[in-house]
Amino acid sequence: MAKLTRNLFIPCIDTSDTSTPTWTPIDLSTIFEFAFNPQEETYGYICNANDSTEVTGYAPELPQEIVLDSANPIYAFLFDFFMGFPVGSDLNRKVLLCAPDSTGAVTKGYMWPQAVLSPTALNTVDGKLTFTLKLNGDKQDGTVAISGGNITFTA
Amino acid sequence: MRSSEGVSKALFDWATGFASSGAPLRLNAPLERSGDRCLVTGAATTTADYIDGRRERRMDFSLVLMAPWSEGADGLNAAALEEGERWLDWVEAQWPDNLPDLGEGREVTQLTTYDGAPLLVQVMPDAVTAKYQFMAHLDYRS
Repeated sequence: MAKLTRNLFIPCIDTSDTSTPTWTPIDLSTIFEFAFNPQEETYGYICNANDSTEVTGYAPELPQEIVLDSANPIYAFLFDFFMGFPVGSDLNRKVLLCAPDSTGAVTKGYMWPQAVLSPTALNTVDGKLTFTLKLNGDKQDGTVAISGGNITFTA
Repeated sequence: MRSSEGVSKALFDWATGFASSGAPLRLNAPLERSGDRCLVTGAATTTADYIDGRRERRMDFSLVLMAPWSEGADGLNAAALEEGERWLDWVEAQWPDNLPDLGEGREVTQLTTYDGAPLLVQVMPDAVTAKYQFMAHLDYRS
């Protein structure tokens, strides 16, 4: 059994402006709580005395932060991105979540092509830029290969 | 490399760059006479666990020195603080161009002094010398 540690779940943002993604990992963050946010419907069937709840979909999101570090590629990208005060589809970015397989190796990938980067706050006292990855739309399941600093996703 | 190994040594090597007319700087050594001084380091504590597996750690360190002391208002006690105050200024002035070399895989992220820490630690039994402590801390990522 392999104990799965926090460094095996790697959220990445496509920081490229071309059709070929550049997956930049969110590294210097101290939080990771992936919220599935199941959408529920409650039905009152006449055959049952009690109501029934059904999950009809999901609105997953991943709140995140990054340390204010000028040498960090994801900070450099996000600061310029958010300070442009984008709205609507300008906030869309592909987001990839790398995860370990049953052996503990990071080979699984889940990619949201229509994710939205929603800014929260720039806190210079705490030294953090906080934001939320809104994982909109249909995800693509695939595999990832990590070689050196390069991450490749294959659907 | 372990996350704390060698950090005290690196701090000490760096601190010897502080010019002073006093006795040679020692590391975690006993102080007995006026003019003795040493660098005291503490155990590093983790201040942040990053999701990529790295950690932010903080190590407190101090210049501790023995200096003349008096009960009177003769200015001796104020003069005794001067070296320590120069040390605090020196530490602040080293950021960001002259930092301790912590070795491969470690990066200094902050170097600063403590505000509000008491400077006088103890008046010695001879009642003519006192021990002073001037605190700072080093943050590093590993």
